[in-house]
Order: sequence, then C-alpha cells, then structure tokens
Amino acid sequence: MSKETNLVSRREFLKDAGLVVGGATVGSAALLSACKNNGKSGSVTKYVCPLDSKEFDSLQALKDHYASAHEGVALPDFKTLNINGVDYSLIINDYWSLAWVLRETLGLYGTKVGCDMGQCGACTVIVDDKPMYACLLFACEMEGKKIRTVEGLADYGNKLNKVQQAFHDANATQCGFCTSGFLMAAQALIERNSSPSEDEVRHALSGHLCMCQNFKKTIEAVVAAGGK
Amino acid sequence: MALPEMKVMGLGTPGNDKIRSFFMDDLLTGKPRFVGDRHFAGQLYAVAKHATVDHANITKIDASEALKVPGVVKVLTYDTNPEWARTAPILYKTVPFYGAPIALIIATDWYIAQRAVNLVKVDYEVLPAVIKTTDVMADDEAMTRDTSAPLSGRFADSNFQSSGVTNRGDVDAALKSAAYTRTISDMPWTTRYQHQPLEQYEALAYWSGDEVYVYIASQNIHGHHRSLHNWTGIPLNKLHVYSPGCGGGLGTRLNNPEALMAVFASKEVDGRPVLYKCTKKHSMLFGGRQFDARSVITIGCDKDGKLVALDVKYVCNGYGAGITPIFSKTLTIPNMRYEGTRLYLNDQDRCAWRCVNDPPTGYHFTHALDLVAEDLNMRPDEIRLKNIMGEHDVDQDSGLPFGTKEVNACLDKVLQESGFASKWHKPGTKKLADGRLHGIGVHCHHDSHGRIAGSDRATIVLMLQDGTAAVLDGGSAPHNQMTEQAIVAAEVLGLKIDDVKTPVYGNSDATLNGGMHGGSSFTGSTGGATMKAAEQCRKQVFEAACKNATFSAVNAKPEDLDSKDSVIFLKRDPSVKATFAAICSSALNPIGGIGHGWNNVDADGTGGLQRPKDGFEVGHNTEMGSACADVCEVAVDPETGEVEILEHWNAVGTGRVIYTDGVLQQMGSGTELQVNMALYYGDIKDIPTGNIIGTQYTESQMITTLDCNPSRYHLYPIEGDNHTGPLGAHGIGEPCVGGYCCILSAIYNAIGKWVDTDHGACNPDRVLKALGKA
Ligand code: FES
Ligand code: FES
Repeated sequence: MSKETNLVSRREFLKDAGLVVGGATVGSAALLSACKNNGKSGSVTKYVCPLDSKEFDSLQALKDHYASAHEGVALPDFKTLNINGVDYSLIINDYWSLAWVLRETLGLYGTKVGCDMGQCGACTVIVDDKPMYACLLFACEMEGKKIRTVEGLADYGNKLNKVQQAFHDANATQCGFCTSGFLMAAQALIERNSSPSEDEVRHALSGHLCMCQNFKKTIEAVVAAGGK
Repeated sequence: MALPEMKVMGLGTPGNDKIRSFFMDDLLTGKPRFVGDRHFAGQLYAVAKHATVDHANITKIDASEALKVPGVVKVLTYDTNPEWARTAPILYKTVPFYGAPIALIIATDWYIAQRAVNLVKVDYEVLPAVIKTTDVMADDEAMTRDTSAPLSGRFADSNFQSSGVTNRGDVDAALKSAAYTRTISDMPWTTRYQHQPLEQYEALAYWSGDEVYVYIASQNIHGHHRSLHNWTGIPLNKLHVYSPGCGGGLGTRLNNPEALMAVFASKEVDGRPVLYKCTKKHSMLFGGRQFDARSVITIGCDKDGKLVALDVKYVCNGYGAGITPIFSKTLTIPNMRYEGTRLYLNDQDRCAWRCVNDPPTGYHFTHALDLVAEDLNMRPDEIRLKNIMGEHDVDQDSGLPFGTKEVNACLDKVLQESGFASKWHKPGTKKLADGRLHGIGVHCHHDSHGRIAGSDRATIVLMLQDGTAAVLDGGSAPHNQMTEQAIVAAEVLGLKIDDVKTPVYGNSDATLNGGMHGGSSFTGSTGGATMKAAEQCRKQVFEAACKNATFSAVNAKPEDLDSKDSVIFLKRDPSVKATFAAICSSALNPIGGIGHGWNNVDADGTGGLQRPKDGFEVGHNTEMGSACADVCEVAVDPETGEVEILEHWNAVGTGRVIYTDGVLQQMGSGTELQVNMALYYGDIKDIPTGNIIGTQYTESQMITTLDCNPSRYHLYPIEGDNHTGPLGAHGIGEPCVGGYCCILSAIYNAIGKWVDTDHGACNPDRVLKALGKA
C-alpha cells in the first residue's frame, strides 16, 4: 500500500520547526522524517526534486540529478516564506502559485483550491493583513511578506478564535469547502473593522462563492463576530 | 397532530437548536482532507484534454510534442485501453458533446500537465450535431417527433431517451365541457439549475499489486464501489473506495467518471498514485446543468377557477432524471394527461438533477396557472387555494394515502406571513416611492423529495467501553445527514448527543451500504437503519445492566429499565441508576447492532404506514414526497431592468425535525438557490447556436453575499408527523429549490409581462427586452 503523508504529524512539526530546507513538491518524506527525528529542529534528511519528486540525501545529489535528468533546466533558488509566523526556506518553481506551495510543499491543506483562477475565493489567505487569492499569487514573489492561513488562525486548529467561534455558533458551514476562504476574509475584515455592519460584511465577503449556498448563516456569523 | 414525546428530536425539543454539525470544528480549522488534499509518495497528476466540437469522430491524436515537455510521463487516449473506454465514460473516440474528455496527460505536477494539454493535437471528422430539443421536433407547437432528425450519436437509431406518461380520467371530454380552457405554448424557455460543486472534480487512485485504492468525492460510496467493479471487472474485495468528503454539489456525485480516470491512469503508470483533476472550466462543461425544456399546457376549469382538466406535453434534454409533474400531487385535478419526453442531445452528460426535473415543469405550470387566474379575474393565491390538495386527500392516481402532506399548511403560512392578498395588485400597476415597480408572486408544490426507500441500506452502531456510541451509517461524506443519524442514535439509546460519534464514513471497506447520501432519502431510510441498530444496542445494554450489581440487586429485568442523558435507571425507582460507561465497561460481551433501511413496504412487513392515517392501517403502502411554498416580493427598476428581492417567505413541510439547525440551513440554501436560478445563473452554452459562451464562475454569474440579504428571508419549517417512516421525518432540503418560479411570477406582477428567460436567468437585459426597451 502507498504511504500517505501524515498531516497531523507534519503540522505538529511545522508548528515548531524554524526552518525547512528542500521540501519541494510534497516533500512529505523529507518533512516527516524531520518530524520523526526530533520534532523541533529544522534539519531535514531529504531533498526533493521539484520536477519529478525524486528524493535525495544531499543538496549536491539533487543538483547532480537535476543536471542529468533535467538538462537545460535550472534548479530554482531557495526562497524564504514567512507563513503563520514561521520562516520556511523552500525550493520553489517560478510557476508555482502560493496555494500550490502552501498545500503541496508545506501540507497546509486548509487552504482550498476551488477554481485555481481567482474566481471563487476558496484559496484566500491573509498577506500582510489583506485577504488575497493564493491561487493568483506566485509563491516565488512572496518573500518578505507575512502570510497567514486558516491553520494559523488559532494554534493550528487546537482551539477556535473569535471568528471561528462565531462560525461555530451560527452553524455557518455545510460541506466546508469554501469555509477557510470565508474565514480568512472575515478575519481580515474584523482586524480592520472590529464591528462591521451587515452591509459591510456582505461587501467584504463578496469575492467568495459558496456552492452550498450558505451565505445567510455566514453573514450572520461574521456580524456576530464583530458584535454588531 | 400530537407528536410522541422526544428527548432529542423535534423542533420544539429544548437543546435541539444547539446541536451543531459534528464536523464543524474540523472544517473551521482546516483539518479535513478532501480528495485533492491527499498526497502519496511519488504521486502524479492527470489532466484531460477535452473535445472542442459537439459531435465528431476523432481521426488522429498526436501527443509527440506534449511528451517532450519535462515532467510529462504519459499521454493516454481511447486506444490505450479500448476495453475500458468502451465500457465506461473515460476517453471518447466518437465525441458526443463539446467538452468530452479525449486524452489524459499524466505529469509530475498539475501545471506541467495543464501546459502539455495544449500541445496534444487532435484531428476531427465533424458530424451533424443535435444541440437543442427543437432539432428533433417535427412540430414544436405540437411537440411531435421528427423521425428524420439528425442523431446525437448516443444511440445508433434514436435521439429519444425515455418518456413518462400519466393519465387520469377523461381529459378530452373534460376539456370539451369545461367553462373555460386555455392552451399556453409560447411560454418562456426554462431557466436552468447549475449543480456545480466548489471542489474541482477529481479522484486519486493507486494500485498495489492487483488491489486498487481510490479516493473520490462521492455521495454513494458503495454505489461507486459497485459501479467501478462493473466497469473495470476488478473484484469487489480488491477494490477499496474512500470518500473523504464532498465539496458541495450533492446531486453530481453519483456517477463520477473521474474515479475511473484515476484508476485507469494509475494502471498505465505501474500503479503509481495519480490525482486526476478536472479544471474548473471543464468541470463547468462536464458537470454543468443547462436544461432545454419546452411545454405545451392546456388547462380547463369552471368559471370559479376549479380545475377540471390538465393536458401537458413536456420535452427536455434531462438525463437520468425522472419526469415527475409536481402539480400532479399539489392540486386536485380530476382529469390529467401528462406526456414527458427526454431526449439525447449533443450536450454534456448529466447525472440526477436536483429536484428531478421539477423546476422547469413547475415553472411552466406556475406561469400557465397565473395566466388562467388572470383570465378569470382571480388572484394567484385564490386559484391555488381553491384547488390545493388537503392533508387527508389521497393520491389522485394511486389512491394511496400520503405519508405526510403539508403543502396546504405551507401555502397558508407564506400567504399569511407575507400578507399576500393585501399586497397583490393587477400586473404592472404598482409603483414604489422610488419609481421602481412592485411585484409579488406565489408558488407551492408537493414534489418527489422526502421519500423513504432503501431496505438494502444498513447501519452499524457499536457501544464503546466508555459508554459512548459509534454510528457507522455507511454514509459518504461528513454532511448534515450524519449528524442527523447521530441524533437518531442518541434518541433511541437515551444518550447525550455528545456521547455519540460518527467516526467512520466514506469507506467501502469498513461500513455497510448506507445508500445514496442525500438528505431526502438518507434521513428516512438510513435513519431507519440507524434506529434499528441503536434499538439492538439498547436491548443489549439493558441486558448487560441487569447483570450489573446495581440492577441485579433489585432483580431488574430489561423491560424495567429506561435511559436518558446517558444514564440507565429503573423505571419504578429512578434513583436506582448507572451510567452507560459503568455498564459498558463491565459488560461481558461486545455490544453492537446492525439495522437495515426502511422501505415504504419492507419484505418483513415493517414498512408502509407506521401510524394509522385516515382509516388506512399500519403497514399500508403510501405515497411520499415533500411540500414547499414560497412568496416573493420584488422591486424592478424599469430603467435598468435590475430586480431586487424585497422579502422572501419560504415554508417547507419537514415531517419531524431531527436536526433543527441543519433544517434551517437547508431551507436558507434552497431560498438562495431560488434567487440564483431566477436571477443570476448565466449560460454555459447558447442553445440556439451551440456556442460555448461561459465556462467560468464569473461568466456564469453565481450569486455572492452581495445578492443575499439574510434579514429579508423568512423561513418556516412546518413540522408534521410523517406516518410512513419510523422517525416521522424525511429529507427536506431540495423541495425549496423549485420555488424559484415565485420570483419570476413576482417580476410578472411588477412589469405586467412575462420575461422571456431564453433558457437562462431573468437578467436585466431580458427584463428590459420584456419592457420593450432593448
Ligand atoms: S481557488 Fe483561488 S480564487 Fe478560486
Ligand atoms: S459550505 Fe459548501 S461550498 Fe460553501
């Protein structure tokens, strides 16, 4: 049977780790082994080829593989992304979206991809305090920015923050696929306007689609989160 | 009707409204992993190339350029495995519709695969295409078949898929003698409903030896297990199917070809895990719903508006859906003839359609009925109230009693709450202070949802040693229905809701068949299975309790015991008690139960009426369905054609409410869907020309929060006892959707013209056209 990445372990690891190197594509093996090794340090034991997912024990081995297997294609540079307050050093192909890297490289699957073309809002993350569609952002251009995902809202899911609690109280999810995007937009709104009116909420969430049509409860939740 | 006392269920039960979806907090923290959130070592990605013609033979596919792209592993076509391609809708050799998948590109990442798609070259031999229903009608007015019409290619000799006929009384004689008759054939083409999930259509599969593991978004995990087996011949015990969740779109997750794509692709790359993803553009094309529906309706009635005859011809391109005329079970019509025909067109496949064709037929009939009322100088509510079927009426065709029927109560409620009679006016005669036109419309129906069917369904309930219960209901996705099942188990066992869990779902290996996972049938049918399984557990727990010192000291028998709030107690002396945890942890044998689903009439005679009704005895077969009524008030700007919903009242016959907040969610969703269907959904395809005009969300104009004003919706669950099911409950979510015609009726009342929706939504351009301004 194929071995599936253990998300919980990986998240636990990411929460504590300061640095991840070479975790390209789902360098899940790399990240997991690091997790199992010590759970705290940022060292890794595997380097993953961003083109074909092959794993190597050293950066040099990965470079050698690149030179022979992908002749004429340059190995991308390392980029440092700050996600949920933690710096990650990653190999990022220049055509990868931020949503792809969050999900496939770092295992932060709470960020969903509904359309992959900037129309549905499911992939929304907060970048420097603004809600943005992660599917439209190139990950390689995100250096120096502070990126927040749904996992970072409150202790990697170990508790609910004020906005999440308001969604809970209003029963504001159905299938939940759109929920992370709505939550991030709502969080950004509450941070800049602590007590938004219903109309302000409706405007702030208007870049998001919910195909279960759960707007009524979502709007009510965000209004309640602000207390107006 | 007095409902039996319930501890957990029922709208008025204290605390029920505090119950939240069991999966809520996981969803709020980003924990659940849908199909696309799964990742296995060495995983590859597959993207399909889709046909760009309506109907054609493929003469050549050249993938040589695509294969040169670094990261592209393989390109598959029909010829890679003709055997599978012949038996299942994977990759087509003859293109039956625009967007049909014709090649599969497998690569190391999703972006590489997408780029390579454009490098695959295809040569077509284009064939004649049938893209609208009128292509196969010799006489559109009379709706008669043209035997020389071009063929869609689905079958060698016919465009006709199926037809349905209802016949009661003597329609011709009744029409002849009726004081009033009118035939309406020039009604607007219907709007469509786009049942498009937010999650992309995708599936992941890998092989390990001859065993196959598949992850799909399914609402019928055991159905998929069997259909994959039927398609591929892989033995059931070597086929493992998992559904970790469904990102919306129930109704489209029944017959998903993407599972087969992933299985097929993985086999061709030596079993490596392959995630097949359909791009959103092609999800829209492939999974979209756009119905081309035509009706000719003749209504006969007496001079007071009492209906005496109805003659309906209906033609549509709906696949896989029944043709159930909703008015048949809504109004008393002694003579009725209904002929419904479904056609194969060169149009994307559809699986079962939410509301089973009811919306177009409902819209056409609502339109016709409003015109008749106008002719007779009646209000739309008056003609409905004069003809609405009552709670105690039997089905006009079968003579069977209804398990439940609240359509009259729903209609009364929305009419009363909205003040319809005082607000209605002659069409096109009322202006608001700001110059906009005011309108109000009504609709009611008793439709085919809410049925209870499926004795092949089964649920397992296990008692754990800590006194909690685990419900394994065979469901496919963590939706509200599983929370309902937990509530049913809590009710039967006398456990607190927090002491019931639903730990396993969407797993063909670890659950019994829970049947199709949709509210309408899951609630009553699988709910019956959960009830029976929980009853078995309760019996075993009480037997174990009698061996426990607490109860053996008082010589208690199982029938002497009762339970509530997770405590078992002696009925005659409730101070003699023990917790479930104390009993279960000391029980000598494992405690568990298996229940089978509740059918209308089960082989063991336990189905049918569970409570006597109107002289029909327990066990008698019944008619089932769900009732809904809506009133909508609009303002129409005559300068811009913009329509604003001022207020919307929605009432649904719920049977007994199991999960209060889930019911309100579904009603709210149904009401929002009405707005979407009536005013917003754009077209994917322009039916008259066959041109693809909008395959993106933004082009398809989905509603957003800007279009929904929660304080303007008024939702009324009308609780009643469903005599058919063991729980007195049934599914309620979808009946609301068909009520969208009340919005279109309200627009008619505002502007005095029926807007030609031109098989799309009633958008500002079309409103202006109706007003003669475009
Ligand atoms: S996935 Fe980014 S907007 Fe839809
Ligand atoms: S809750 Fe399902 S898409 Fe929004």
